[in-house]
Amino acid sequence: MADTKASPEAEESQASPERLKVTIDGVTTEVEPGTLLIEAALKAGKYIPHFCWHPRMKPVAKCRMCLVEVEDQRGLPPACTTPCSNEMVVHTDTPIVQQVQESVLELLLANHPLDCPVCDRGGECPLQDQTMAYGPGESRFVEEKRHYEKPIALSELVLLDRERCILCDRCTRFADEVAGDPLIAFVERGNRTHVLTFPDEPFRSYFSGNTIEACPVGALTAVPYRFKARPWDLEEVESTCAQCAVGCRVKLQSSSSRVLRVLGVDSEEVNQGWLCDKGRFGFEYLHHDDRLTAPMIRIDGELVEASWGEALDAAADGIKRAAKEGPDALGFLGGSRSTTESAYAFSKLARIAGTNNVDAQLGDGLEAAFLVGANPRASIANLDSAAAIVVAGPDLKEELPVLYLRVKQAALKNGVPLIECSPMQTGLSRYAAVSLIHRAGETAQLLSALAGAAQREPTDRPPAGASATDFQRAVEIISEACDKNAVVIAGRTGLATSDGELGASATQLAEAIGGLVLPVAHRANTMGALFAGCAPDLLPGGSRLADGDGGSRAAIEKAWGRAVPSHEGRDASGIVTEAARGNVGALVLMGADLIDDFPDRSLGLEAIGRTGFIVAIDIFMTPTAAAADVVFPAATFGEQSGCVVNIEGRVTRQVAKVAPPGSSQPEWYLLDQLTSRISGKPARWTSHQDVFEEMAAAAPAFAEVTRASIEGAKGTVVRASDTYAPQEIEHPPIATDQYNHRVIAGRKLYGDGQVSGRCTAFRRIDTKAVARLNSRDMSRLGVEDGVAVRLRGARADLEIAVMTDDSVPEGSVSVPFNRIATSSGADEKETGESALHPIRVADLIDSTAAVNEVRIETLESPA
Amino acid sequence: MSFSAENRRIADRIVAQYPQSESAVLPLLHLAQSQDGWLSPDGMREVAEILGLEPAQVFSVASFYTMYLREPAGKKIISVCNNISCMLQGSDELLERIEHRLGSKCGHSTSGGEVYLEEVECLAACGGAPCLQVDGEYFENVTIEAADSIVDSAMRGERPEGGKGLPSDFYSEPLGAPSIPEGLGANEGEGS
Ligand code: SF4
Ligand code: FES
Ligand code: FES
Repeated sequence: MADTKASPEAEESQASPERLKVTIDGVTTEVEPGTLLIEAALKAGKYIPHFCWHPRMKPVAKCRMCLVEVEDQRGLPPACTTPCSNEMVVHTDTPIVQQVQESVLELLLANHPLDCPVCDRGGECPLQDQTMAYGPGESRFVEEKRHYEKPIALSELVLLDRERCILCDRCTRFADEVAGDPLIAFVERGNRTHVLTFPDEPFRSYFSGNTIEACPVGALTAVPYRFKARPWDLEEVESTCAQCAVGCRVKLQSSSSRVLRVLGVDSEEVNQGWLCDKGRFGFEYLHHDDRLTAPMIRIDGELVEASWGEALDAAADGIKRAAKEGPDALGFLGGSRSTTESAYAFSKLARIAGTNNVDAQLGDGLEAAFLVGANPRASIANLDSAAAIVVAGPDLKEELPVLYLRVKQAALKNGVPLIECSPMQTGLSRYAAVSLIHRAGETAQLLSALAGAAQREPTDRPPAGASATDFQRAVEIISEACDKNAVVIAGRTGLATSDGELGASATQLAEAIGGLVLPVAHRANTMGALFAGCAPDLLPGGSRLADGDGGSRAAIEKAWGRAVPSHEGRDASGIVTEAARGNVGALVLMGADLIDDFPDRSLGLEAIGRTGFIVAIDIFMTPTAAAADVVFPAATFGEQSGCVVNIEGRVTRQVAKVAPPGSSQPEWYLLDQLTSRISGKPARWTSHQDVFEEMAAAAPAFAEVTRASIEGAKGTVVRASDTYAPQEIEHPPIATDQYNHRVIAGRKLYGDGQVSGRCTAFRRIDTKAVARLNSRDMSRLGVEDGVAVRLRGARADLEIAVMTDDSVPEGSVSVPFNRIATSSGADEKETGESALHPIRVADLIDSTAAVNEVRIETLESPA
Repeated sequence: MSFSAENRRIADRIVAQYPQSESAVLPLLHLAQSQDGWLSPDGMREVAEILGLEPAQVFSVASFYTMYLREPAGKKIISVCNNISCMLQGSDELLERIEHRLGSKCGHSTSGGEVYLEEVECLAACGGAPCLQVDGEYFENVTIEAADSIVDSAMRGERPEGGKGLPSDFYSEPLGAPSIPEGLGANEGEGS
């Protein structure tokens, strides 16, 4: 990083009092006050060897490797804790410094096993490298080394070899300081200091993998990567993680066309180097045997392998046949798991086929116009210096873990007051100044009330059952933060509630306090797909379809050589509801599973059962694909290049590293073929770049987004052509039924979905679903932890084990959406076998209702 | 374990003495140990819960101090100093002798649970090296013969002869009241 301000006119070193002049090994550089010597050295292009110092953690000066000589100072201070002062003159390679470096290394190696040939870190090990560069070459120690059992499991994912550990405190500091999960610590301090968990309490942090990357030796290794490769055999590309919509930057490493490891890239804008364990270890599904490898068509009721030509013809015929019945006979769902290019191709295919019934969200998101057009939109980095943060959305720790880290950091390190509006306590509650816990499904009402109160509209009682004191406290905080860039994070709070007006009321609140909005979406490229026009009311570029003959529509029609249909399209819920009534002739599903990944499973099943023709583009034979008439195998993350858009609207590149299995193709390719068969015009694209260029030409919003500007970690932020401006907001009264527990159905980081379920790394992690209830509800029901109860809902009954959890308010029940509910206890005894009912929480949910409630019944106790 | 109602009250009072509740970790660990006679994992877990810490953090502290016994201990505790003065005066041989006589290793209790033997760092009685403690009572200039008789009385559950007096019965007596003088609890109620 060249410092632009440090100009060659060096004379005036005194002139800028807020900058300090430091000379390191003869190189003079200017730094901000508070800069540590080790940082100043890096800036001056001087590497000071170090182990314990990490740019993203507080320095502790544990390893002593960074000792340097400072003129006019006694002793050798550690560069990692010494702040620069003006006119400081530093030497990093004098004989005395070298001698000390040799001694430090000799001591660090005194007990080190030197087992580099069998160590995963060998070849990329800071200890190995620095020993080569600065070490004494020989050791005087002849004593027996310390021995420990090699290696021990800290968790299902992380192994620890204590013999290799140099006690730098990076892993333990990370766990405490960054992740907020201090589950590992130094124990038996003294001659046998080592890192350990509490007995029987594994290091189950969602961020545990970062410690492996931060460890400067091979003490911490990853279960999935252990003995898989040597660093020099790995090839790598930089890409963007495809597990959630934060879009962390990653290094994707492979050998022999298999992805073997994912590492974090330090992108200041997005992930600051960290990854969640799902992003880091969730790639094994790529090489799973269950991957689809060839297209299939249904012949005499059976899905059989077919050639690409046959499958494309069959799919195009089916779509064309249905299209004759008018636009509403077609439904296109998906795109949020694809690249933006493929999503664009999907949206285009829908429109060319004659319908606006296209949706990338599966009835589990927020208004598309809000997601793309939120205004003024916050960036992730805005959180660092926000005057306040309001989180009204899912449990970020479970759904957008690295965003959680950023919010937590803002609250804890920068002192940003955090207001949480959630139907139950979340991972962020411990850091929140106020947690406005309220009735599920009424978050929008609460945000509107906050907006009103910020504008001095008196509220006699906060809505949604929130506590009046907490509400008052929240109002004080946001009033204080007015016009100082407070950020309102808004996302769907759960899948059992519709959160209809959430985008509008979040916008209203942001307006009232002069703040910014950061909408959050669930799947990795939901934003990209919406920007590509995969929403009934949006065109590529995020312009409003209904705005008629505006510039964007004309540009698109010109690019496509076709009129864009003008009927009012249906969103996912509308499409599935109509399909369930038997009114849809053809459904085209791209990475969209209506049976296991749609909030309303009974509706999804009905829709699949009653639709005449289904095309599924996917990577696995999902229950939905298994019911389709044509199945196309798609390339996915790591196998195709293209761009993705994160929650901020940041466009970055995903890069192909390995080959997709069998004859799988990137989705844009087969969509182009289908478009050509339907329109009768030749297919247009030979690479994802062709698609990108067409999209950029068609959608004015993408005009700024050039291929060059999205290279690298920073990418470029795209803004929708039409910004979101909500109309008058009305909060329809919530119709509740006779049932007495409101359902909160959030997603857990580790589910048992098509992808996570096929990663061996996660297989040993317990993903059994339990229903969580407040202790008062538990005693009212007279049940204990682990006992199975029946949740009686409008759609179905679900037998599930209960667990006391006071983060759930009384009168609510929290159930994980993405896990299989295993009914236990009574059943097992009755049937004499472990009864695994593949019943899902989604069976319970009526997605057409604003909220879902259940009655909880105890089961007859077995005699 | 779970704190008795009485000890739970004491725990709350101790916590209230500190502006930051974590600071109460050492006294609470002593309290847990005084209730059980040793510091069990459940004891550490409970302390962690009271203080809003992770058990690993409490474990990290507890495992630094030899005075916290993380294994069920014998009725009497013999602590042999192993630091430099004592070592030069033969504490290694002393320890070996005691192990032999007890028939159990350092860091363990005798099979009948009579005596627990441990090695400790400097007892600040270097002038009387080699030295040891039995239940906190100092024994100085301990010869091999003296050690034998100390061990024998300890095994019989008696207080050995020749000690310097009991400073406090730290390990075996339940903590009656926090060792912090009442008057210091000015900020009582804060900090938890
Ligand atoms: S395990 Fe690695 S990161 Fe942790 S203290 Fe040891 S050397 Fe440092
Ligand atoms: S890097 Fe400075 S002491 Fe470790
Ligand atoms: S060395 Fe034993 S008391 Fe000091």
